[in-house]
Amino acid sequence: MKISKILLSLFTLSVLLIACNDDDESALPKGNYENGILISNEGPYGSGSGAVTYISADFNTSQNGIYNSVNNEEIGNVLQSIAFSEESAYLIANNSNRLVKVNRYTFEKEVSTIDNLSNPRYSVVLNGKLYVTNWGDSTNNNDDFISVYDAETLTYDSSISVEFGPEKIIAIGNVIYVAHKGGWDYNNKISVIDSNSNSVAKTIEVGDVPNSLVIDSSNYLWVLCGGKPAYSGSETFGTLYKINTSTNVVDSSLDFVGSHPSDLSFTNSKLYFQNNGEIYQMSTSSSSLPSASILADSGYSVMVNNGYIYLTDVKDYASSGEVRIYNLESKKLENTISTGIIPGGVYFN
Amino acid sequence: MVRYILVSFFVLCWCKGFAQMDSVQNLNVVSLQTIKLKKHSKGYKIQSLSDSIILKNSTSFSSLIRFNTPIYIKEYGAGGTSSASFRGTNASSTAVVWNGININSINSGQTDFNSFSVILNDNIDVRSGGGSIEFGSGAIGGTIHLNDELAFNKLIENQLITSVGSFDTYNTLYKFSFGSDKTAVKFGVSYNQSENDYDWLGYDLKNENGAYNNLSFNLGVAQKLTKYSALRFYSSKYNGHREFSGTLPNPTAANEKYKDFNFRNLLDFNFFKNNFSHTVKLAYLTQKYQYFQNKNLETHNYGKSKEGLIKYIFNYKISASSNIESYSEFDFVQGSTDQMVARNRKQISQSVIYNKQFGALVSLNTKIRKDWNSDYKIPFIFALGAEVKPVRNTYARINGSKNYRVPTYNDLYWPALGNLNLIPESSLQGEFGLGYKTNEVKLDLGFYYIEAKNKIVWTPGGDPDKPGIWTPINVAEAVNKGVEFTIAVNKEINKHLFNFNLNYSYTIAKDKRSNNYLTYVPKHLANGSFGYSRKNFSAFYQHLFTGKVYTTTDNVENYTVPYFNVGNLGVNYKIMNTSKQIVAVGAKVNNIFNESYKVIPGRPMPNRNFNININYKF
Repeated sequence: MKISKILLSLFTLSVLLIACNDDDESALPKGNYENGILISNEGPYGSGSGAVTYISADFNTSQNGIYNSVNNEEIGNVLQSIAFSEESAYLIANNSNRLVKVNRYTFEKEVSTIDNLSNPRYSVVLNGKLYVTNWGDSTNNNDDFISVYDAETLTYDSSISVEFGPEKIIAIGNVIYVAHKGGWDYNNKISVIDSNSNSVAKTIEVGDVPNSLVIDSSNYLWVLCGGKPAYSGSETFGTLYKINTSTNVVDSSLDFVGSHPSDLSFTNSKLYFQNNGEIYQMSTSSSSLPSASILADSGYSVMVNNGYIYLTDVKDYASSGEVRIYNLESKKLENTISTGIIPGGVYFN
Repeated sequence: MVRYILVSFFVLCWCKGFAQMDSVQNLNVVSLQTIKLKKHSKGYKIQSLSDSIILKNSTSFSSLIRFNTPIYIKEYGAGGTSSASFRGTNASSTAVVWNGININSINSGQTDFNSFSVILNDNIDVRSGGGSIEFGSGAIGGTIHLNDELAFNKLIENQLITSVGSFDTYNTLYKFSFGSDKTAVKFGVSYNQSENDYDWLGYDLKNENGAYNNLSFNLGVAQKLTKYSALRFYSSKYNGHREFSGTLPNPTAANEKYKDFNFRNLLDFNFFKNNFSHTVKLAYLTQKYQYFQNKNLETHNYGKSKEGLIKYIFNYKISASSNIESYSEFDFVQGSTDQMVARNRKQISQSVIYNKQFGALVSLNTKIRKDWNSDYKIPFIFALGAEVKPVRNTYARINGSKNYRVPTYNDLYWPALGNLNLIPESSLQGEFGLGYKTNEVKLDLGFYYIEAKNKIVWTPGGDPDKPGIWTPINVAEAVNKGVEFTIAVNKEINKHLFNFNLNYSYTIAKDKRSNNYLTYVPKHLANGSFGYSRKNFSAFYQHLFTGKVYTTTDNVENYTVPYFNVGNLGVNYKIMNTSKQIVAVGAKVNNIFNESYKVIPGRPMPNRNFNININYKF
């Protein structure tokens, strides 16, 4: 009793001190998981739940299973992705057809839904609405859709029927771009959705299997396409598309030779991706693909952000994975941090 | 289907007629197949599950094995896919043997323990330890034998068992047996169905999408041809339909459906005269599965296989205490899936077995086998087994063997991913056991050691030419060691009959490279039963303890399935017990303590549930 009282007073005191020392009032901590990196772990395949790993911004501390420990429940089978709004994070459990909204800094669950989800994949928040890509049934290429929810309450709003295999989704202005990777099949489209009417305004053809999307500082949409894999029986190779978001016309495209690139990211005016097991850097103004890599390492997923390269390693898919963090400047391995099972996504809080 | 219903109706009428002509005899049938198996298994532990044990867990083969044998059953929710881990080995290292024929799937190398109708077979033997010499691929941890008995006894018997249980579970079995000096006929039909929508304890959820039904037929005919020869025919047909239940936290996401069809036929001709015996076996087996990702749609994945087998067994009795046997086998397999075109595989095998008895003290089996397969090289294998009886009622047993598990069709031929360079997994094992046996007490304690190499594992980037792509490679090595302890006690005190059974197994199974425990292998597993009967009343209690299992290869504590205890209680009363008719009624409470437990993460197992049954023999 006494100890807890002392601790409580110390805590109050420290909060007061921090508040007093700082003239910016927003410096009050918003939660345990503010300022750091979040890793979405898909979880054991078949059964079991996905989990979220938190890594502090200085990489010194990390915690696995933060959703579970805060909320004492599981997210669901195969945590596919996390999307963010100002205050919230949206977790998608693919196999469980479940969408959970949490406070992005405390990870306290606010609301969840299982309505109108069928193989949900990725999501984006725009103008108070949450847009979720859904593959629908694996055997049906005509039932794929974007389900739309109120971003605050997760009340179902409507669905937008789209081309098959909608995967990554990104928003700029009042427009949403959806990459149709193809689901269990292979597709080569980008849907342009007008958020005012919630309808598909245009479909842009790109290379086979568009796997990642970024928007650069000049508002160009970059689409990295992996091409069809060898085991598809009709192998094609990667392409990088640059699309003008004001006209929705393809500005240029570059072809990879004999490879399947993935994981495009954009930071500090440069593009990054992985190809042939190595990491490449490219200027947005470059008219050709880079010939030399910057790092001879690769990951299940790759994210380059603010001076660091994050590579996730899923090991044998049945044990704890890890994330390797390289300094972008020196290319030195700064840290290796153990994660949950199958770390699939890297996000920043 | 209609044809089968007609046939069963016909048989039903036919036997009804017989039943009126003759009186029912209740014979304590000794299993001939078990005797034969034991003769070839000196030094091995064999546990027989009689029909009275089978009846106690008549609704699920997984439950039957789980509550009565040392085998760990990995069941994806009650009624879902279910596989065995015997002595810590994986699902394809337990061979299921139907009337002497290995029936593990060609495509997956495994047998699904929820794709059987339990009570149709007359008895089940569980043999611990390697047995590839007699039972081929996958007989590594042990073998499970489903036996149909055809005996030349004077007998006409009908048996009708029907039960009703919680979650709309209905089971019906009808079995007809006819026997004379020269002919034996057996026919059985079984139909089981359940909504299987049990509550998930501790959650406001149900086991959604878990319904199942299955229909199966068994037919056996034996005919003595001459004084020295007999012909036997066995046929079994199974048609199962299951939904695959969902997982926490949203079971309503589950939408899958699975159908499987098995058809097995075996013709066995036996000729014996003086010191020679010749047996020719012809088998034809087909399997087919259909997997529907969306149960409401017709589109599905499938796999099917056909297998033809010719076996010639020659036995020469050298002396009263020794004999030599030769097994020659030709096996032809054709398998395909929606992903792969039909592929043929041929295999020729030759085994020689020498059995020797040194008085009452020592009995010995020595066996060797060589296979020639059209796809890959199979190692030369051997087995040795011996039993020594130094003191009355006690024995020491010892065995050692090399066994193998061949790559499955999926491993070899999966488009663009399969690996044609795979070789069979092989394992070397040894066991030492001590036992004590009287009419009242049976006790066996065994220590075993299994070393497996070239284990096939699907590995991302397994093929350096295909980075990031999952391919199967011969990579893993494992060491399994442990203890199996069994005790069975039958005691009669003033017409009160008591029986007690206990299986305990201690298993250490580790990956040799990482030195981590293998996943889904409990270190401690114990099950036991206590039975009581007096006159027409009987009662039993069954208990299962399953220790903690790791689910990740690096043994992370966050991803374990905790230990659990489950108990079942049953009572039976024979309301009529004459030489012509027996009518018994029974009731059973499964999971009587309403324990919340899981075998697989995210998949709660059934809460407390009830079953009432009638068993009518006439």
